[in-house]
Amino acid sequence: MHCFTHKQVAWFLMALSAMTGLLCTPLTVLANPNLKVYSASTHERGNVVYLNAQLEYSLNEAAVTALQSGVPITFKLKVEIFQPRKWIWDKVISEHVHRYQLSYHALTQQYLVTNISSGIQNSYSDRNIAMSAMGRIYNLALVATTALPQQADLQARIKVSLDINALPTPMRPWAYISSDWKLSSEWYTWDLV
Amino acid sequence: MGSSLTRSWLSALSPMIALLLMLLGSFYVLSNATENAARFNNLYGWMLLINLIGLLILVAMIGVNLYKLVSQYRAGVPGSRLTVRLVIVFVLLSVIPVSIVYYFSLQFLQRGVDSWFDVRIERSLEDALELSQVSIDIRQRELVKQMSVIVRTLVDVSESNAGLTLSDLLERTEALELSLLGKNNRIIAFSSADPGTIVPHRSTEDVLMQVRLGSRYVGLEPVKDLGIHVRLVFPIPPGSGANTEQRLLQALFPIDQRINTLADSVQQYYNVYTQLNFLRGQLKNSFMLTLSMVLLLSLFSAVWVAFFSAQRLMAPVRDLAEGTQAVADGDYSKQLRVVGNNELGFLVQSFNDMTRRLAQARSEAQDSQQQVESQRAYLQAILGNLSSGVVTLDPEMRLQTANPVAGKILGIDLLPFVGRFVDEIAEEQDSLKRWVDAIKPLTNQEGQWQEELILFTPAGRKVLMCRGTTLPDDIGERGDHVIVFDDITTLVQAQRDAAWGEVARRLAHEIRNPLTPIQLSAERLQFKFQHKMNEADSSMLTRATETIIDQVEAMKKMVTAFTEYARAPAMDLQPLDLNKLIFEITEMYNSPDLQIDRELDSHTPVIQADAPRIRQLLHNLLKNAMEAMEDLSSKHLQVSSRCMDEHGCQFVELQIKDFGHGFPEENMGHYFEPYMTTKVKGTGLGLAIVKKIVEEHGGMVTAENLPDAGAVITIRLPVITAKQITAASTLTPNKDKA
Repeated sequence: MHCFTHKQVAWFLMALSAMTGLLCTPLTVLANPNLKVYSASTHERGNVVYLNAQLEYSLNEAAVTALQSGVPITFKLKVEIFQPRKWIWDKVISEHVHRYQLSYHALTQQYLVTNISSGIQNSYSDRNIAMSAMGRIYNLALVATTALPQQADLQARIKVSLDINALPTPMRPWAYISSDWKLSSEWYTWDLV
Repeated sequence: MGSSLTRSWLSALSPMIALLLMLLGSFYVLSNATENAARFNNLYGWMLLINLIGLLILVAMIGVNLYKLVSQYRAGVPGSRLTVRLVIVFVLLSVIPVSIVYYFSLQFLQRGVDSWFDVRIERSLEDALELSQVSIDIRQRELVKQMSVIVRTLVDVSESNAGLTLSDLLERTEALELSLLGKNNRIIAFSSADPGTIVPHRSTEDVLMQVRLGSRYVGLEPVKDLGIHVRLVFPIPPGSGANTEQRLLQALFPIDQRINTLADSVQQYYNVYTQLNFLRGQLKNSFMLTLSMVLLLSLFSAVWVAFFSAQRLMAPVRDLAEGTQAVADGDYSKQLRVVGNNELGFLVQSFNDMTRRLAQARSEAQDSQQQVESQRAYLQAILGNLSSGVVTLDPEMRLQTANPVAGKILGIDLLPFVGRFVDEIAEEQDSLKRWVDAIKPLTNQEGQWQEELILFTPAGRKVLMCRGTTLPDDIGERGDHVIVFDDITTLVQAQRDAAWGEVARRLAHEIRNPLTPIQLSAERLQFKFQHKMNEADSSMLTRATETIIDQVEAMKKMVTAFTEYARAPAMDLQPLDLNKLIFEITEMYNSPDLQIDRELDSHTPVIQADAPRIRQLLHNLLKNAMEAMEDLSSKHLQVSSRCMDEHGCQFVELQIKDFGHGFPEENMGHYFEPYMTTKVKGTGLGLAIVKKIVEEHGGMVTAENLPDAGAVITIRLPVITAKQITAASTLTPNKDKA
């Protein structure tokens, strides 16, 4: 219907990419120090690779207010086993995502930590205790060793971040672009034994 | 036609409709997601992005349309101004109501969301929560008492009996589970009302730590799928005997089912309320965002549709404007696309009919013009091949047309002078002056006229027969003059020659033939009767017969002279030095009693002439002059020659002046006619022959008396080159016939 000139198309694409960049940039902003991975390691037992990790969760004021107001806060734990490559991106062999939800139970004045994957729920009377309990990962089964390639120098990495998509919808537009909700650790990498 | 139009509209609109439907769909998803609909929840972020991109595409399209429209407006493209107006009207029509609706929607949204929240509701919910807590608290106190009893029971229970004791206690109480923990939180014994539970719901480390320090723990705990329970962790004091380590008793008691349900409900709604209250601002923002994006979609769509429909509406008008421009520029082949069965379509149809008819009319006009052209060419061909010159003049005496022959007869190429006044042409071309002067009075006559003109052109003397008429113009007034003229010089000469030839033939036949018998009879009379008569009679007879014989001899000479005059041998034009011939001949007449003065111009050019005829001409003139001075004692002749250039014609003028008696006044104008003589002797043909020879050479001769005494004869002979002779002979192809 309309014939666009090359120039117009170029302008349009530039505007589009600028807009898309604007939307995506906050997602890739470097991790806020609120979340940390202190240590992480894997060990094998009975042909299964287990993960032990020590994470530190802490919430900023916005998150605390939301939590106290009954908004559940979901953290996403992402573990990847990968084969590092020199010139191109690393080859991810297995990827595991675990979600932990922290919520406040007003009636009992307890903080509930729910492992969404397993459904196990624990309650804590103190938020910090709840978060430190959430930060202790002990013997989390990751993958069967048979699923991993033999004789390859494999590495694993772990990262924890706040799951914005699990927030209530009205909060999300703001959370997408606000740094308050960009809670994420950096990747913590170690050699897979 | 209507269906094809609809199809074209649909095909033009379909990408846009698809885009709008897609955006509307995504807005539906977006608005549902805002209301926490689980199915669209995950798509929220993507929908937001897609809608933004869609809106950007719309903005870009509007921008392109706007840019094009502004460019067209600036360039003054036909229809662009009206398109701008329509777009503005459409945009205003859509923007104003949508903006009003938007404003009030925002207001309603703000108030609507705010109206959900009320301090009283909040307070009552908090009270309900507290009430729940208080009611549970009573139960907790009862359980503490119950627990204290159980603890005492377990002080001296050994590890081996612990399991049984716990089972027994579980049966006696309403506990969900009971567990006995030893040192390092080791489970000594565990008993649960739920047979499926094999591991106790462990207390957290801090609780256990707190209890080991000596205090009791009583707390509420939501147990997944089982509702709210009371957790009690009591230290068991070390007993006597084997039981010396500090043990902990952990118990989970359910609360009353009804209270549990209500408390759970209160907790749930309190949670929803506090969450909504917390999200109030963001909820409003989110609704406003969705509403704003829907508004922008509507606005941009409306603006785009405004552009689209304005351009669609204006397309036929623009076509019409361009078509009219094309017609104004002379392109009648323009046919516009008919846009539908409406007024514009009717207008376009009418335009197409108009251009078709115009094209037809122009084609017919071209045909008739071609016909006129071909007729004109035909006429030109006829005029060009006529032996007559044809000239047309407009009423103001401007030269309109002239055929080639007219130019040849008049000795001038007339074509360069077309459109100019004949007076102007005559001023530039002297040779035309006489013709113009003669023609002008004749053109004022009514009806047809005819006149014989004598011109002296570069090609010599010419006799023209001119006929003319005035054509009526369109309104019946006097219009153009048509003048047709023929060069009848040769014809006149031929007629004259023929007339004199007839005279000579008759003279020879009627007069010369009887003369010899008369002469012979007279001689015979003299011879026969001279001796028979007496001397006196004989003398008289001799005189009479001699008189007869002399007169007959004179008549014979006269007849011979006539024959000579009438005879017209072919002219033999050769280069002739006139001065030399004059000198030669005047020398012959030189005598003591005759004084001849010669004034011969040395620059006189060589002329083309028949030498014997010119010689005869000079003899005749000299004899004539001598005869005019016969009775004078002193005779004086003046012969002069000179070259003259008059009216664009070069000629040689020869004058012979005598100082005798001059010509009788009564014969003025007839000197050159045959038998016009005042002399006793002579044939009366001398000057006639002179005139004949001069005319044969294309010259003119005049005679006049000198003021005091004597007469002068002036002869003008054209300086004709050999080339001009050839041209003249081709100009008059019918000369031989004439």
